[in-house]
Amino acid sequence: MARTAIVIGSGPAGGVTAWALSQAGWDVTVLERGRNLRPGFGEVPSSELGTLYGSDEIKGARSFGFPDPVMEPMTGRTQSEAAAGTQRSAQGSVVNMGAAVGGTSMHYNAKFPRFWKQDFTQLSDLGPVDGAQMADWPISYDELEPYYDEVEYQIGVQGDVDQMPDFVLAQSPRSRQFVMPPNPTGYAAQLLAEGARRVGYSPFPYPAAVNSVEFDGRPRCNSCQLCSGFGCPINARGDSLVSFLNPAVLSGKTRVIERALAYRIETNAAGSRATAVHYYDKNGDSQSLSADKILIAGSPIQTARLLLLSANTAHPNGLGNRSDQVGRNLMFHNFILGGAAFERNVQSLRAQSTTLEVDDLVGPFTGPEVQALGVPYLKGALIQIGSGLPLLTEAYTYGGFTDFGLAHKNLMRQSPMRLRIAGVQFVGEDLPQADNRVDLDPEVKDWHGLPSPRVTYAPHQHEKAGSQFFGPRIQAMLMATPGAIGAAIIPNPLISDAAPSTFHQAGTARMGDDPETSVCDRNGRLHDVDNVHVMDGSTFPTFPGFNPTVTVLANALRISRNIIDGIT
Amino acid sequence: MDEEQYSRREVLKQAAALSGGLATVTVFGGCADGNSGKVAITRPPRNNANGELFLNETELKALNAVCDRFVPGAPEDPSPGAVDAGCADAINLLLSAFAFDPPMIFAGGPFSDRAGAEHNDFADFIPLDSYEAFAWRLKIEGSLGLPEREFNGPVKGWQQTYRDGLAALDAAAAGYGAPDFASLPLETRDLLLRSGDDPLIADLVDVAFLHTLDAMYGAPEYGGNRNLVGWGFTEYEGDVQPRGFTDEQVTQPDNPGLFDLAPAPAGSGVTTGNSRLRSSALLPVPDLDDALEMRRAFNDLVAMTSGELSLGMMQNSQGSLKKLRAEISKLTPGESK
Repeated sequence: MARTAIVIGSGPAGGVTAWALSQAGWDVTVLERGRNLRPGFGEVPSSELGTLYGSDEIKGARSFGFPDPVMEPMTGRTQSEAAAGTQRSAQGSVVNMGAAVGGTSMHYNAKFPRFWKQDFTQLSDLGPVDGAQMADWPISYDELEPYYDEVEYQIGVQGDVDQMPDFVLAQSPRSRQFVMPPNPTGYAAQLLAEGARRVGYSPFPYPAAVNSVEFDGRPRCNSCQLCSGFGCPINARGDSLVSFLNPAVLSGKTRVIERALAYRIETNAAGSRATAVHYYDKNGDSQSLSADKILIAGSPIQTARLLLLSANTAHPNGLGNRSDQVGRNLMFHNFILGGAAFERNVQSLRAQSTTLEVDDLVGPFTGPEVQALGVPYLKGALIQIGSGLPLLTEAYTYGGFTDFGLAHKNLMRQSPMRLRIAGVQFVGEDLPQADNRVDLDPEVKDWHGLPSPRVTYAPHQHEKAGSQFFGPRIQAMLMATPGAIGAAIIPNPLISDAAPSTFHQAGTARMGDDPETSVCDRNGRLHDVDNVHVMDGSTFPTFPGFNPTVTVLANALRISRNIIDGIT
Repeated sequence: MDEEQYSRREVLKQAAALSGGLATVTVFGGCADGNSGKVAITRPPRNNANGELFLNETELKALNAVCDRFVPGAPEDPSPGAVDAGCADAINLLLSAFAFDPPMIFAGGPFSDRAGAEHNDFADFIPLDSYEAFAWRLKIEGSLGLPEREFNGPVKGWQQTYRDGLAALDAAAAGYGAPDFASLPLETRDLLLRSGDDPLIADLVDVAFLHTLDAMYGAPEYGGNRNLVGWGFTEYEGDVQPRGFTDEQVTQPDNPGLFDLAPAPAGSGVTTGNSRLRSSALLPVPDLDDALEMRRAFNDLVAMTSGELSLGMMQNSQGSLKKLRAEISKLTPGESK
């Protein structure tokens, strides 16, 4: 029986959803607010796709592949600013995700660690935390594992089970070896890894959806340096477009409409069933479509915005918002940035982004030193070992710190950041809070005249305590790096309450079994609307300290299969 | 070095040879149309619609003198600066982006011809769709009183910001008895640019500094970084695709340190580390030739080497120094936010 679906958003969640439904014979229409940047998309196999991306920093600075910050501004403020009545203190990109066919995965660097077993039972295992809306996931790691495995094999993930520490495998057991071996580790990351080993940590190859060998007709990565934030010029990275969406379109069962901004989901009078999706097309004209299933995959902020924009008589506070949880529990990753400084050029950029991972600070930690920080426990995160900055990014950063003129130029010549520093990032867990939320800005609009999403945020005491606890450990690790002449960390949550500039986002439409405390059920279906599902990271009840894309993919595939099987 | 391997010298040599035929716009003041004051371009990039650029000769002279203060060259500094890189001309191209078809906003992809590709895709600018054209006209031209462009109120475009700011600088020069800004001593030019007294000048500095950085250190297809001077003194390898790097270039240092020279520990069995690392090795702490700046760098910058976060920082700046500094302040220890 042919079924129809509208998928809103073509990033990882939308891409894998369209792929799975197409395979099962569904007719799928994908609405994507960005444009296609891969010539040949939908016409030729993924191995033959062209690309408009390149190793060009100016395009990144000009938001190529991202929503334009003037056309589609986001606004932001901190919780304390909100309490003081400030409507917004930031406007522009703020924490915008990508907007292109393929979504943010077009310019991610494809790090693919799985979440851990313990992440799905956090409330049960560790208890409540004041000021945080802790919750267990309505699903377990074991339920997700087959889907992790399937997406990893479809997209092509490098790694090595034999080099993973036992405590990592115990928490994220795998049914088989990775698709391909790790790519070589850059020189600077090797130095950092030695520092990690000296303080007793266990660096291991970072799972990544980057080809270390030819895969699916696409070449191996050649470690060109410009990975995170750049589209891959040689087609060596798996992503939503090449791995899922393009095959789905080639199957004849999926069509993708680019520059299509969904702005309202219409329901029947009772509000129990969605009847249409309204969107603006590339000419700015309003259009509408109907389908059996409406599957939202807009990324956490845009997904929440669409639900809020879809308020109607039956859903006066936004679609599926009986619980008043739509837009709340917005979570990022609270990074601790670190760097070891060297006297000489350590080629920190020359690598396939980050190829090593340290999980020794994932936790949880519950000792007296944690209690003294005013929290019942601390959950940490993985540490990304090795990163560098390209030239124009370096120039901007100095520009933000220093004056123009010779001082700036001398910094560019001596290059403390680019040539002489190797970086690490601790991807800190962010606890869900009711007041960390997306709502509709009362004044600022996008170019269609629609209210912009507004982000209100502050880190929880858990994040601040985490910075105090983990920061010195990371700094010690960096100081142990062979050849390091200095090391420093930037504990983000201790410095600013502003939402961190990261593409790691979750929450806003959490899934759970109780309709009074969650937005959707275990299958992402809105508790109050039969045929609308949230497919993306919006559904995550908590946000463990691991790069989220592989879990976004696995969870969307799980929900898709349950839809196909008629379970939901 | 293996002949097949990527060679920085080779790339620079290729780039130098290339620069003669590059589609970089060369602006000759002597070719200006004396009646309109518009600057003609003698070797236009492909598909130049009308052969005119936004800034006139007088404005371009002033802008050149501004860019010179942002990234000084000789005689203050031995390395080429913004004037050598052609930054003012590149900014003029940005302000004139819609005089070209396609507009010169996004260079093409995936490759330049600096690292093994036969064709320079970067030189083929990407046609804008209606969304992008709207967005970039709004930034460059401003809202111009058009209701459809004022969905969040009036927007002053970069063209007006430059025109007003450069005129204000020339007017201010008169107060010093100089015919124009470019004729002022370096120190006076710095004073005018830094003082912030005149909002028109402050607005100019706000956008022109980051535009100058783009033109100094970005890809040369946008009209700056002539002869790759921005990638020379900075020891930047530039775009290296499709050649990329060999495994050996990735895993081994070009310039080994002391700790790289020791033999691998017997039986270390390390598979993710450098087999030549010796855990007991030490490096002497070197003398730095600019200790104050490096100290500041250690304090403030050492931890910011994260491409994932810095892209958001750059995009949030939207070409504005004020916005960039607001972003940076979020990562600056010791400041209360």
